[in-house]
Amino acid sequence: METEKTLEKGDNLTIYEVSYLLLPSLALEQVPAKVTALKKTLTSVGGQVISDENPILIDLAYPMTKVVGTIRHKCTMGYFGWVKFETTKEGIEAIKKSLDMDNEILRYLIIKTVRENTLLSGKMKLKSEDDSKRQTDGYESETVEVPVVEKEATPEEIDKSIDDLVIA
Amino acid sequence: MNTNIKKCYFTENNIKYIDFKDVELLRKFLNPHARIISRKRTGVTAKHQRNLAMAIKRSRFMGLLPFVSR
Repeated sequence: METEKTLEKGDNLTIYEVSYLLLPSLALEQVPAKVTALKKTLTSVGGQVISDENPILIDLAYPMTKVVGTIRHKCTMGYFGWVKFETTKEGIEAIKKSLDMDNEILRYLIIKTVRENTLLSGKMKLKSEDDSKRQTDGYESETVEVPVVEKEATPEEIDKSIDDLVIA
Repeated sequence: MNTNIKKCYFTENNIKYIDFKDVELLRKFLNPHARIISRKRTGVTAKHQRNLAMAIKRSRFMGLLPFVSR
């Protein structure tokens, strides 16, 4: 195990962002544990987490493959998440190594960034938006009202439709 | 004379850092074949076009945007 390092004032700190795609074969319950494990590796090499977003299952724009041992995983979906943190040059090298070794990460990307929030909307607009839309639709009162209106007109309409059917 | 001059989207909206995770925003600068639209057509400044191209390419790598489409 690596010993926990503490940040000193003399260290040249850089802000990095690691975004990653987890394999879709991972169960939804396993994802939060994976995220905490990932953050633990970040902090163990002296990183300080600034902001992050939990992984969400997204449809990939094109299929990707990940070879683990002799198994070739072909993925059309993946859990996409990111963490923004601050660490040293040595720290990011160690993080890269640990990410390379990880068999559950389909792909990852390390970039240098700024401390401020760079997302315009504050949060990513991917599948989560569609899900929230569906949820709000369920709570809307309009959807409840529509069947009520139908019920008011039902007795006569049913009679008519039955008559039509009988004639037919 | 210069009625058709377009203004840079990023300068007008005071966007300093183009994030590759802003898929909705990046899509505005792609044509239906998912190719990056030239700054001649969009009016983006040279500096912002460089950053935009980088963001789109990062986004493609992470599977958020396609390399080719249709």
